[in-house]
Amino acid sequence: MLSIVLLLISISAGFLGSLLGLGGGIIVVPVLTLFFGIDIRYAVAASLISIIATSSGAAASFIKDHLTNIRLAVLLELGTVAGAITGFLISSGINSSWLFLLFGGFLFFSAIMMFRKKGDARSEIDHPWSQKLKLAGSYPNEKGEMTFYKVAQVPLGLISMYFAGILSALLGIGSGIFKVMAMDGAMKLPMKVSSATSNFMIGVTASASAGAYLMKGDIRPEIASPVALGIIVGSWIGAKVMTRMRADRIRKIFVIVLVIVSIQMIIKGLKS
Amino acid sequence: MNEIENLELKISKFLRYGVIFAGIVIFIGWISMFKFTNTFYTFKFYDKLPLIDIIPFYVYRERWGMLVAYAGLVILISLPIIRVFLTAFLFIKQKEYILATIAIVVSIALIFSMFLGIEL
Repeated sequence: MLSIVLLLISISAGFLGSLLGLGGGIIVVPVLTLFFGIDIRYAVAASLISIIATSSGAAASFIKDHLTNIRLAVLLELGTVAGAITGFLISSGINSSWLFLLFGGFLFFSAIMMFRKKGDARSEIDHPWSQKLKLAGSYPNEKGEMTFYKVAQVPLGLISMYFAGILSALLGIGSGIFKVMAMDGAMKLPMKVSSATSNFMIGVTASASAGAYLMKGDIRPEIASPVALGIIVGSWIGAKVMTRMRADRIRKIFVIVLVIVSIQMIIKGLKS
Repeated sequence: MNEIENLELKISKFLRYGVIFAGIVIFIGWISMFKFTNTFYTFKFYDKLPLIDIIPFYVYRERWGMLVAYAGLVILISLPIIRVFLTAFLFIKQKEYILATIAIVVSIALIFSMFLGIEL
């Protein structure tokens, strides 16, 4: 049964996703389109469902670790939700081949970003909006001491979130990589805070377009059910074993896989 | 942990159980409709069919498994919307009116986005 195969692949996607700090969408969409031959619009819609599941499921543990900046998340959700609605609206006007090209390009970019590691660049200045909304915060470092941080370039962060929202709706991804880049790069937040806050937000971004896709009829239970169930189970297993596994080697293998898949997606986009 | 984080934690825990609940509903639906599904062949090409046309069709054909799976998916999608809405209440409680307004705007936008799907 192909549904069982899809369930098993989704479990692996959820497992790998939580191990590498990615959403399952980056794996699920290429599998559904390239392997199962499903139209990319159904694949994108099914993938959005699994993003909601992983984000909502993991939020509690990140908040407990004091890593999530809830105040900042609420503000930035304004940008991502507006972007997700825009993405949904333009999705009808974009044909499948463009979606394949965009997804392929995004995967290629993600692969490069996964190789890039850099230290935190902390901001000395707190942006006026951040002062007004008290967005600056603190989190415990490895030694258990509280590290304080300020928030820079809030408007730029908000604009970046808008574009991350568009990509999320178009490609069925959490666009966590872009969210982290905006928070870490533009707003100068510590990496751990960026990752936790991004994870907190991706569920809201995904639900904005998932609701619309559901009403439009693009979310089909035959595809979305095994994907959602697989991702829930897989990411749960991934979170359990995460502390016991070294992700470095898996990351390197995964980067190669991403590059290959991205090229395949681009070729499919060019052919169709 | 400050008060708002504590309350957020409670909401997030509630959401975690919400995901498990939605997962169980989806699972029941998926298992029940299993015999109807054989391949993904029908999804090879995109067919524009809105939900308001799909649901009466499945009710008429008495495909309850499919309807249960849809219910599970609806629960899952509504979880983040509930989260944002509850966050707005938390900010009101803390007299943080700007952030409360932002959270209310976001939750209204989320509900509004669903209706966008109906018109298209």
